[in-house]
Amino acid sequence: MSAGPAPSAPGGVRARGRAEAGLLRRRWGESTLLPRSLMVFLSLSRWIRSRGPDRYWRHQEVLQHARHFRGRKNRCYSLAVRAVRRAFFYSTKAKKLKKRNMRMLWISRIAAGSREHGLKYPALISNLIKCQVELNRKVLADLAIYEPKTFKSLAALAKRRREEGFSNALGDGSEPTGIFSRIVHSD
Amino acid sequence: MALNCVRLLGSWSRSRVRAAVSALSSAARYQSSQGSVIQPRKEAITSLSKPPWSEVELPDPAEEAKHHIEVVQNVKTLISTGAYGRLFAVVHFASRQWKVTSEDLILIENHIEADCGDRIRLEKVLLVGGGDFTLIGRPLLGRDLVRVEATVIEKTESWPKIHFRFKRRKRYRRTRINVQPQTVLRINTIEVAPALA
Repeated sequence: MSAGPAPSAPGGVRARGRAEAGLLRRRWGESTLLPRSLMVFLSLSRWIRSRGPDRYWRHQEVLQHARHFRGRKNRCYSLAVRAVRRAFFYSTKAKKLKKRNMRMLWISRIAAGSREHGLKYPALISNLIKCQVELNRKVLADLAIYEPKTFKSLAALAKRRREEGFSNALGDGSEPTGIFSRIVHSD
Repeated sequence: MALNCVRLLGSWSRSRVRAAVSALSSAARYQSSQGSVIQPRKEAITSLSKPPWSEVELPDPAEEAKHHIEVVQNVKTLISTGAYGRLFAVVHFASRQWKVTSEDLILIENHIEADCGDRIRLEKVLLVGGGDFTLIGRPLLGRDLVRVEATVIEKTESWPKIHFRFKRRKRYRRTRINVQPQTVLRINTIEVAPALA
């Protein structure tokens, strides 16, 4: 600490000396106006600029859906984005297909069960509807698997209704009135 | 005689008249020569001669009625004596049909106006069955015949389901996250009462 210029007045000697010492002792980036307890790095942000603080989390949002995939697409973002997009698209499309496939499965199970009892699927379904039995295909398939006696009784009901339908269709065998025909009945 | 017939059948077509005339003439010939009766013409057997289903013989209605009464009596005794084990029922609830027994859990994909712990009666019963008998409703069974009771256990939301619409090369992408309210019911009891007709 070299001494400053010679003091002129006796009162300000110590003060000026201290001030000059403070000036010399000023650290890089330290404000000269504010005390050291309230340091503010005003120019620091000009040298280090953040280009977006949350890229990590935006990537994690996509990668979390790809963690169970195979290969690098479960780790690398650019590959994972494409795989995840396809996965979402296929899952949305499959929501409609699932309903169709389940109905087809039920129908084939009901057809198999009814054929065991000597009826075909269209006959069973149409005759159950005509008997006002409003069981849907899901429940009928479950009954065919887990309640065989109940399914047998439903098949018998449908068969009896079918036979009644046939006999109603034939009627009593008489010709309709008011029709003239040259056909002679065979015997 | 043939001329008289032609005048009477004035509205017919010519071919019919000719056929009628020829028939009459042949009949006249038959009658004059041999004196026998006209043989009726035999019809050919075609695919429309008989119906495509095999012959159907329905049972006698009186016997059938007796059989029905017997069956109903048996079922009534089974129900009144309580000689059934576990009962199952087909119940219509929340626009779906469920095949249900006691102690079953049901997950319903919507909100129900009942609190957790409330006891609920499921009224639309389509079918009830046990080991030896089944009661089939047309379409529903009576309220005084079956009673199915359930408790609301849980009311939650489903996991977030992603609905993603995408069109390639058209810059179209829409993402929607669907969280569906769910209710879990536990079926407590299924009771049958002997109120059959």
